[in-house]
Amino acid sequence: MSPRSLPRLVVAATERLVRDPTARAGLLGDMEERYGRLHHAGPVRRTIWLTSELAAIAIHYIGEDVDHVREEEVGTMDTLRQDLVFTLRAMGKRPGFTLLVVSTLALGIGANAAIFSVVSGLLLEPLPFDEGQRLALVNEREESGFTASVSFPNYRDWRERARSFDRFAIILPSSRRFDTPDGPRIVEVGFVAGGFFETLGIEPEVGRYFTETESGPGAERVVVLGHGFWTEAFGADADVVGRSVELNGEPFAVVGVAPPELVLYEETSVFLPLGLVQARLPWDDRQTSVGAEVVARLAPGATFEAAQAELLTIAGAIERETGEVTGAGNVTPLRSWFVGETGRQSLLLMAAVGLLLLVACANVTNLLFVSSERRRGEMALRSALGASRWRVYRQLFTESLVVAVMGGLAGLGLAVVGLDALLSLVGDVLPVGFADRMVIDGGVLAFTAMLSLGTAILAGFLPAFRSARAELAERLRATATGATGPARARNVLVALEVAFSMVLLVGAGLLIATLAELQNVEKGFDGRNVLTLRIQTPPERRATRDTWIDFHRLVREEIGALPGVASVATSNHFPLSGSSWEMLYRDERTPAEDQGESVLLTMVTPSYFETYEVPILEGRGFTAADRWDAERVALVDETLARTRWPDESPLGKRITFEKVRGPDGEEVDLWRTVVGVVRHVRHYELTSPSRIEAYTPLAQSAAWGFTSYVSVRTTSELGGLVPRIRAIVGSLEPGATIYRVRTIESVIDQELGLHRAMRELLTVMAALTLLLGCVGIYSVVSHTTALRLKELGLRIALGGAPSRITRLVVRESLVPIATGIAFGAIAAMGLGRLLRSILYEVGPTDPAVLGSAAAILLCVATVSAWLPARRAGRVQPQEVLRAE
Amino acid sequence: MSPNRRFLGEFEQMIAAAVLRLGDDAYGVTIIEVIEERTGRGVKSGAVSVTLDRMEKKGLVRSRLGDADDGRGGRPRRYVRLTADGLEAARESRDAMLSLWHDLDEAYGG
Repeated sequence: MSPRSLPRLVVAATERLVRDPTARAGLLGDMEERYGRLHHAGPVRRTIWLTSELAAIAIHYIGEDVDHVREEEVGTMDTLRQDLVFTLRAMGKRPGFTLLVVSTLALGIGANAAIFSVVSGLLLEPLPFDEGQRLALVNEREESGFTASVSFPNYRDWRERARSFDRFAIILPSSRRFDTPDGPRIVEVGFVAGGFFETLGIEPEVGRYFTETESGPGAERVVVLGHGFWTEAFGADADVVGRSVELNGEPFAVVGVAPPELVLYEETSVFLPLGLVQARLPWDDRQTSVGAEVVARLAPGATFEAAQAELLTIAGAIERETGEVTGAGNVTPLRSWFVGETGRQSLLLMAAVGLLLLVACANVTNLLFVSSERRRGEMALRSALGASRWRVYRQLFTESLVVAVMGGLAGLGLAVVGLDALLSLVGDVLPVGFADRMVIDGGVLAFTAMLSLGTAILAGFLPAFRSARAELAERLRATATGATGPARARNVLVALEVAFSMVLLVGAGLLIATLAELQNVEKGFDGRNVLTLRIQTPPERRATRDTWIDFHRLVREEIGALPGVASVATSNHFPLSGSSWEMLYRDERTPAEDQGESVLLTMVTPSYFETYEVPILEGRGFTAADRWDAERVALVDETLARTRWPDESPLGKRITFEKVRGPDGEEVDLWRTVVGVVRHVRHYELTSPSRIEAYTPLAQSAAWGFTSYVSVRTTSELGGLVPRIRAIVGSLEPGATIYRVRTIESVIDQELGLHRAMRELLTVMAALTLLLGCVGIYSVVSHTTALRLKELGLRIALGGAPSRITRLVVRESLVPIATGIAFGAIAAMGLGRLLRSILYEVGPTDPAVLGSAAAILLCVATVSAWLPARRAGRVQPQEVLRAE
Repeated sequence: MSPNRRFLGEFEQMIAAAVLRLGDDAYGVTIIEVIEERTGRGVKSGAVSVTLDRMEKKGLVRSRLGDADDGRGGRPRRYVRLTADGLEAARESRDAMLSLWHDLDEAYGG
């Protein structure tokens, strides 16, 4: 069998449907041959092709069997089959009705299947690690509630003391230069210790991981390659073990390759033993952390809650023993760490799309009602001919089952297409590596089958039950028009559809309002037309403070001379960059025993405030005169100024957050004078203010030689700027590497990705629900109008103006619509709370949003009722009365 | 119209014409190709198969299985050809249609 042969399911179904061996062999052969030619088409096209071909076989051959049977012996057919065939025939006779019902269900079921595959990929499928549900990520949480990376002494103490965890391992993300024939590039590396891979429980793809001796202090120069890097740089060569990789110009021996599933952050290209850099790390400093994260595996029987409690106790014990303040270990189960807010929002989408399906069900229920009423005569005839109530009931139920199954199949086709669209929309906000797990698989198929069955029961039960029960009464009241019972039920359906639409409209509205707020949020800086990039320099450029400062000055001068460039700045980080320098802040009033409060420290060139348009509120900015040998100065942000000196100006005050070597070699505080106050900048996230902030001139920082960011403001959007910058840096220093080139706007876009994806998805769902709701209202009103033609005709005959008749019908349908809006509003206020975590400056009961949603719904629903109601006004009394 | 005259349905006519055109090479896939190419209309294998079944039952076509084929998952081709009755029915159908449309060029604006 070739890999491109027909799925077994299709073959089996065809074999069952086509009895004649010649026809069967020929047909299956034809299908194979044509399917084989589709092998260049994508899975979506192939699935659609298969579904439509299979549907054609089903439609033609199920019908064909009847002919066959009719010619021979009807009596031998079992009744189920009879029901089925009858239903298919009946449906074939009303293609419009069938299309409406099936497509309504397909929409509801398809949307559910697509969202479910996302939810399943995020929350249900096991993590690719051995017993992944026992893994946690541990970072530090300070008393203030901020989380931070882990200091090495804390990692060692947890490892030694915590009994709730079996294993602890640590990874320190960093980057290294990797030379390729196309020039150097920067790769993400992870320094690991403590049995990192063993803790995660994941087998190497090739070779092995590090041994104890390889990873300890004075470790050997060995590496484990990440899967992506191995594929890219080594063409996935299985004999890679023993080969050498040069990082920052130094050779490392490859011992193994990690599997593709091992993705914790951005994909790590290379893993190295932490021991290699241990001597250069603050190994014994509990107050400093440099970005390390800890992964831990729960001991048998332990829970995450117990482990969290234990780490809190350990932090308390450490503080008592050492007299140092320390953050406590903060346990996040690995799954939550991966999926976090995205996981929560995906559940919300599941609920939203569930409402969509309920509206679809309500529509189908209503359509089946209508159809069953049209067939009262047929049902009565059936019972008169001796069909039991059960038999009639079953016939009706078979109908809803058949439409549900067809809706399910069509929905599955929609889901395949929809999932692609969905993933292209939300791909950026999904955790790395998770999009690949979102496929239409067995789980999704089972879910869809369940939904279809549930839909059949939900949508079919009421009409079927009513028809079966009503048949006796119907025969007695043969001339009865418009029974009141179904009319009431239909009004309830309309109210429900309106209520569900209202809930989704409000949800979409809240996110639309949130994004509008977020786009206008006072972030403290202006990122439009700002491009950032990182420059890593070879060691000789970082040999002294002066060579480092000079190199960056040259880079700024040359870039600044390019046409269209307004200003250029160098800094240690930039707003929303995801990296940050936090230092302990003290001023002259801070008691000596107090360690101080954490402050966000940005080291900048004078042009930084111009580049990001951060307003200077008081005093001055930095100038070229603020050199290392001049008076040490600093700027503070308005928050720091307000909290520290509420009643006086901070200018001239002295503050410190760095240490330098004193004349005797001991560490002393580096004091600075505050010369200005600037606007608070939202550095960590757009949605909330950051900590207190301070700025120092880059030329005056205690730290230097680090890999820094260059930010370029242009007068307009400039194409072709990046190659010119590369050329400039390359000519100044061929060994320098430029990486992480981003515009601030793209950084903000990414920051708002989840909000935007939720807004778009909820808007689409609200629109679809609204559409289905309108179809529902339209069909209810047009049906009720049809049933009341006699009454309406009489009214017109008695002198009622047509326009008044139309208004009468519309007014009556407004009752369920208004009821639906009211109940929907109440439900939306309750459910809006679930959205709260991604709302910004908009409450879940925002009156403007509720009001707009109600207004939209009222308008659209009224129009949907008015269209069929116009017919009522056009009734010709003579015709109606003549019919009697 | 005499009762023993049989007209082919629209799709049956298409298949009959395709089978005639294909000669010895007429089987499901080639029939679909001819119809799709000439009419621009998408055709499903199931539709062709069931129509051939019907036509065979009415004695309009005869089919035989060829040798098993690798490109078809080891399944044979179902080659068909028109029987004398089939040919007759095809011709009558064609004549009937042509005569109905005859001289109507102006009426349908052709």
